[in-house]
Amino acid sequence: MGTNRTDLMQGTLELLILKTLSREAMHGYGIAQRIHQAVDDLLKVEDGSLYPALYRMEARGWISSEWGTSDNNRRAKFYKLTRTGRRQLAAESTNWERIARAVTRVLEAN
Amino acid sequence: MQKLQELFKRKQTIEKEVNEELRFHIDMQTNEYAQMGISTETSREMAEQRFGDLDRIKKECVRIGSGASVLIQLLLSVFLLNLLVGLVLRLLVPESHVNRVGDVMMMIGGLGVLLLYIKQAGASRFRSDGGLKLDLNPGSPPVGFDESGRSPFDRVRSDD
Repeated sequence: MGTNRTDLMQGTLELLILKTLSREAMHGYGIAQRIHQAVDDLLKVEDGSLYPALYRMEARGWISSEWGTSDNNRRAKFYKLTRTGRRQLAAESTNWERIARAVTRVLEAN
Repeated sequence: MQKLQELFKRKQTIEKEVNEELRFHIDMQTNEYAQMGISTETSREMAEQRFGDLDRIKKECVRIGSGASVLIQLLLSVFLLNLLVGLVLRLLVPESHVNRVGDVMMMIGGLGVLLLYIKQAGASRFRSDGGLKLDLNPGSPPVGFDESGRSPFDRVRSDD
């Protein structure tokens, strides 16, 4: 029986993070929870893989971070989207839609 | 000043912060499992398993974080050196053409430091619920917030 869950590629994870942060600033755990809720177990996302992605995105200037206090009064690192990140989200969303359309077309043709 | 200090964050500090951040995640996940009635020990094991290879992930985050930090530190050092040399030329050398060179170097150095500072200081402070907090006027809604207290992010419509 084939698996119904797909391993997530790095670029896709970054797109999910950008989209999640477009709504509000969050700490890493919050981002992970939101992504898990959104993909509803259809995609396999290892929680830890989120953090190297966040650090890469911050190095690129797509997101910024700051230490704050979580709901349970613990020190947590919050991330938010930068202006560059918003532009990147728009570009990647468009690209993703284009790829999805192209692949669908090929699959339907065969 | 704090933001400028952050530019010179050492690797040990980055390691400490990465550790704290990843621990926070695992602790939060552990608590969630524990609230389902699972024992604390099992909750922690499940949380760590769900997280993945903690040591590998920690090393990778430190590597990425240190790399970005080194580049920023290098740039800041170059700009500060420019500023300093420009100042010395301006103050100690009487020739006017050298003074002009000093002025240009000071301008480049100062501008560079300012840009790096603005880049680092870009993030606003965060509310505990993950929202933005802009406390420009404590008595009235912050800039961008409406009268009900909703932030600009709260008002963004979801595409879902």
